[in-house]
Amino acid sequence: MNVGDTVKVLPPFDEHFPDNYVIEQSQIAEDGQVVYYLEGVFGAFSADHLEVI
Amino acid sequence: MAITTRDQLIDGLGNNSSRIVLDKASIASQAANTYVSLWRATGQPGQGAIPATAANCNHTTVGGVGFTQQTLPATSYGAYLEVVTGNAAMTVELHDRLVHMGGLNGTLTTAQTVGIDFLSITADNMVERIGDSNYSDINWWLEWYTATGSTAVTATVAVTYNDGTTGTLSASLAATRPASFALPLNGLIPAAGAGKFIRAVTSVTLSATTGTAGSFGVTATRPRMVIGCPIANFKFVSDWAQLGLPEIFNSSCLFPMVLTSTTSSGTVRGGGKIAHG
Repeated sequence: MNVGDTVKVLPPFDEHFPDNYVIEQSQIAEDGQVVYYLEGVFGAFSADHLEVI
Repeated sequence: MAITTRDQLIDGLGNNSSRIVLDKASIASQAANTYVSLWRATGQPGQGAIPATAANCNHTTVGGVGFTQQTLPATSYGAYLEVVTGNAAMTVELHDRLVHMGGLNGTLTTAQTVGIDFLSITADNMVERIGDSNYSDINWWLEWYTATGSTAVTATVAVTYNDGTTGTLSASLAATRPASFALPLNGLIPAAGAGKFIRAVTSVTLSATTGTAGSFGVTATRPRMVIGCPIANFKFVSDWAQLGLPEIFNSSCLFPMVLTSTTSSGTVRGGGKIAHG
């Protein structure tokens, strides 16, 4: 999963984020986990909740 | 018997009431225009414990305002409240803390079990305390006990509505939610759930780690009394009529919350009376 990839958001978040999104940034959180920011979406997502399409 | 006349009310206030004592220390590191739970504030009533698994709260729970329990048909009412706050433009609310749970982790991205369902909670006089049988009187909150991390995330809250259908609420969590921050959930019911009320919260799932485990949980309350304090260090008074003479049901766990105007909860001091009759 990389910056620029198009992803869909998996359940249970898909109800509120039903579109396809482009990853615009990845970051390492304070506890060392990698998080991803999607274009036009507030807040970060873990790879568990995203699927590259 | 219930209080149905002014004479009975005066008699209750003068001769048959339980005292409300409020003297809560300020909680720092908040944001303006947010709700802050004073459950963990030190003072009077005493500092409440951080819950683990879901548990009922009642009049004996440390953190709540104790009052004399009545034998039906005798009834209790919020009849008088006076409050002074250290901050200006504050709203102080007394809620009946119905059920709470804690221990949710700000670094987990799997579904974390909450397990509060009012369909099956009857102990501690809960059927009376929740109000309308469609659960519309219940306020649901995410309540923080220890700050989570600085990464902004989305929390999906899985709920069951009053008609038995299920759904999810989507809560945006901006950077670092501090201890005692309380996020109201009722307003997050999406259009698909319009007209429904939350009966149960089953789980919370975070979209990503916040970076710090912290500790937060889900709390269900029912608001009973509210008083506006527009000026700091000036005592405001509400009598029975201004309070709406709310019934305070046996086993209620009354505790204060504030709607902030600045970056702390400010001191909250005052008192009141729960009239019996």
